[in-house]
Amino acid sequence: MSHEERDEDLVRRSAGGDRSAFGILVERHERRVFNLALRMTGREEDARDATQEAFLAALRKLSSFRGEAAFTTWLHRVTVNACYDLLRKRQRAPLLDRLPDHEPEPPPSPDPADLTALSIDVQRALLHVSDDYRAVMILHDVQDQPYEEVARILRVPVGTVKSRLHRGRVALARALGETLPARSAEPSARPEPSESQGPRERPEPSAPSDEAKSR
Amino acid sequence: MTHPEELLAGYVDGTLIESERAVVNTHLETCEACREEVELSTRVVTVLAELPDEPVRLGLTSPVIAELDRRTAHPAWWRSKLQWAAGLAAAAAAIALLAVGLPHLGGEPAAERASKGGLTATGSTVPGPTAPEVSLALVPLEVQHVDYGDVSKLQALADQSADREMNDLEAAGSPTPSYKTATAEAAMSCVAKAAGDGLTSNDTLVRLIQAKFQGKPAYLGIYLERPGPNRQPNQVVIWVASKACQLLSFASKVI
Repeated sequence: MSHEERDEDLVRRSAGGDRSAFGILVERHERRVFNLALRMTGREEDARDATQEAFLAALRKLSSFRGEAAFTTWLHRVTVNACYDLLRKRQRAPLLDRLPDHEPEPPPSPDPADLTALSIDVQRALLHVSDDYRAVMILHDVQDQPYEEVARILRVPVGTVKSRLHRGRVALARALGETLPARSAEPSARPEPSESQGPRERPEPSAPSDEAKSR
Repeated sequence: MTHPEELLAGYVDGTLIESERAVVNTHLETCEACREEVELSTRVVTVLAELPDEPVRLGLTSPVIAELDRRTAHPAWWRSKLQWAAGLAAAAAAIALLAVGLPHLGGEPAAERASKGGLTATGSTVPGPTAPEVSLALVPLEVQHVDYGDVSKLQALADQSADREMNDLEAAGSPTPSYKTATAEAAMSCVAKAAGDGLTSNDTLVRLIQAKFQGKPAYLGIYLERPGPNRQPNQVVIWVASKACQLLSFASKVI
């Protein structure tokens, strides 16, 4: 698209005092940033706060983007960090003692009409997984960021991203318990894990803390 | 049993090369725990990929735009939030680059260099290869690909310096690896050595930058000089040192 000016150019223009350039950056990235924060925190008000903090930080730091990391990488990093801060500050008891099969909870998203029942369950279960695991799953599995970009955003080695991804997925599956849908019939493009893999018994639901199990 | 944990995510994602896949397949033949995890992961990945993208509500970023407008209308407003930052910004706005030294400056007596730059030297000299005894707060070393041999860039640097002092969300969340903290101390010592007795215990290091000066690698130390014995009122001083710790340039401005 001809009107798609590169982020780096917009950042440069913004740093030079071009108001509209920063407005374009906000418009371009707000949805992705908001959704990252929403999945990380599970609450719209926190997601809104984290989104605003991320962009305000970007505004303050415009001059330091010159020739450094990509704007999007930086923006995602600041967003994740803002979420970590919010989660630390607002340690809410419901996040710690909920189990997926407990009584119905108020939906984490303020707009449940837009969510399927499953996505509400998934969002709730995500909050039972450790922040570090959750971050890699949201960035990679939900937002389709490659391992390498996730590593840059979180400033951890790629191997760590992969390990966290695997552990996080298993932890999330266990947190979802019975609500995790069975595997779809068609194998898709993914390789079959093993020829002996038939439909398996779902494992016993385990405690959320099991996500940190040692291997 | 050792589990190929780093490979399992890629196995589920289908991103492994053939040899890696073979390793995992062999492992899965004998490891029921991993087979189970791969099964669970595969199901979870499908679910996560289907999570809906929520639309943003109108006005989500209104505070950001409001702040943007405020800065556009009053570019200096935000700088007054921090007292010293205000001083630094004022200095940046009217900074007089009283001296732009050349590499040969390194051989001059430090006090003479300082007086050329409008600095008020204390007269206490600490000659020799060691850095002067000054009390400096260690700050991270920033790495920039900028050549500060250009006077206007030095001025822009002062603007950035004020920026740095604002509430830094990034730093609050996690360390910033683009800063080479391991080498910050060496860079700080180098700048201090180059500055010689132009530095005193009343000087506070506020930024430390690794960049270039006239094409050569250089360290820039930005100091805030607070009132003290035998000193002028606050001033901003930027010392530019070569990697061999020779003074390349400096700029100062009484606030």
